[in-house]
Amino acid sequence: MKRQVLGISGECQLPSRSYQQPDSSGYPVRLDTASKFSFCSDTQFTGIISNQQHTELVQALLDETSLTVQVTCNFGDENLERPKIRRYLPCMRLCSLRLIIYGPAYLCDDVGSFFQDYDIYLQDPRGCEMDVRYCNPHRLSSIDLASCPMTSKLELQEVTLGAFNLEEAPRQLDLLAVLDSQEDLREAPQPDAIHTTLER
Amino acid sequence: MENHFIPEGAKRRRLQETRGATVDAAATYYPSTTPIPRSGGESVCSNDSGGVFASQLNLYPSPALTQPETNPRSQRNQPSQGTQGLDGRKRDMIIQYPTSSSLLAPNCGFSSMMAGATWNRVSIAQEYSTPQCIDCNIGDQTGQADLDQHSAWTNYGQPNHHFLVPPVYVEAEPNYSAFVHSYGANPIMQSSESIRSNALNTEVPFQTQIVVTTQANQTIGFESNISCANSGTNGLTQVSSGADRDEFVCFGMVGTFKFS
Repeated sequence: MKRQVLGISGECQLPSRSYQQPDSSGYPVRLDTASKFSFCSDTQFTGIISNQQHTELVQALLDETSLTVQVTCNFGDENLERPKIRRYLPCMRLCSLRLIIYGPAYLCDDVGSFFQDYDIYLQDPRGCEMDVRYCNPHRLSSIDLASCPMTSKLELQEVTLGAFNLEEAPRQLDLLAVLDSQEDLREAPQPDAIHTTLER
Repeated sequence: MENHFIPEGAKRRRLQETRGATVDAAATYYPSTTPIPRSGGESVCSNDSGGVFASQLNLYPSPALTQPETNPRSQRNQPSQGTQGLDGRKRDMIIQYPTSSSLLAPNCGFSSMMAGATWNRVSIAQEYSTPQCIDCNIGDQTGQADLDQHSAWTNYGQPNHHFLVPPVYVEAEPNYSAFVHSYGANPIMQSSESIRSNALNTEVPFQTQIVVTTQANQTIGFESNISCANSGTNGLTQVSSGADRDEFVCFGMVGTFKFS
């Protein structure tokens, strides 16, 4: 089983005709509402966040005015082969929104708890627009704010940060299941110090 | 740190004993008519003869750092104090002493430093000689570490006596430690109590209390070992890089998982 780290799932409405199809690189978008977004560079691109839980999450982020959310929209690598007749019609395409959260450091614990309640754990950001300290509440290394790296150095310091590649981590259903074994243990040999033959 | 004080009744007895006792000339009881400098909120206890004790706390032994029942010498030297219990009212008095948080000095290393600028003064018991008042803050408002003349005092009277240093306020600072130690001729007992370090987030500032045991004619001094740096703001403690909790930071990127 393969595990992928994605962003917020969404659907993007692509304009009609022979409009250039977006590639797999990220596009900066802005959140118009908790469920709708549009591209910063081209308003013809719009999209929606389809998952209701994610919509609630985004709404909570928007409600917190002290937070700043940087959003990029990523498309998959799939190459859409559309019939000729449909090339002139708008179509919906699945996308993934990557939200990078900024805010005052004192909110760090609250932000961490908030996402944890959603079973979401903050990942190392990529492509930050702001060069600020990276203080991830889900990282132990963020305890000392002064030692947190700048976001501009993140991709350079990936090794230093000790990035944990979640996608490569082996997935085990239950780590404790190893201990719950019904297999009988092999009998240990009699210790040398005991000369009397032990009854088996 | 838990503090132990004797009950009020034993305290009064102790006061009477002290007044009647013969002490060295230097161990003068100060029937002070001069008000002890203090600021608002500080409790002052006056006795019938007009003596003023800004703090009677330091008159009484505390078992916090010594164990008289297992130390024959201490047992011999200590006045009988009755039971040692926690006196809540006394504790309240202690908490009233500090009025403004002390400011960590920007210095680094192990230099002995005390600066008296912002701390309320607390009189030492009558058996202690000058300075009658001590300051307990660490660092000063100018960001310089100056040796304070009140940072040391001498016990000329009671042998092997305990007293309680007023609460010490320190700004939250990682890798910070401070301690009180005794020095002087032949110090028989040296007591130190480390102030907590890494007190971030939850206790800003925090206070601690230190119990010091002294011998007769022993001088007690404050020393602070500060391994932090003030990056420039007078009167404020800053972490070395200047980061603070109001700084705008990046919390990370929202990630969801997909299993395929």
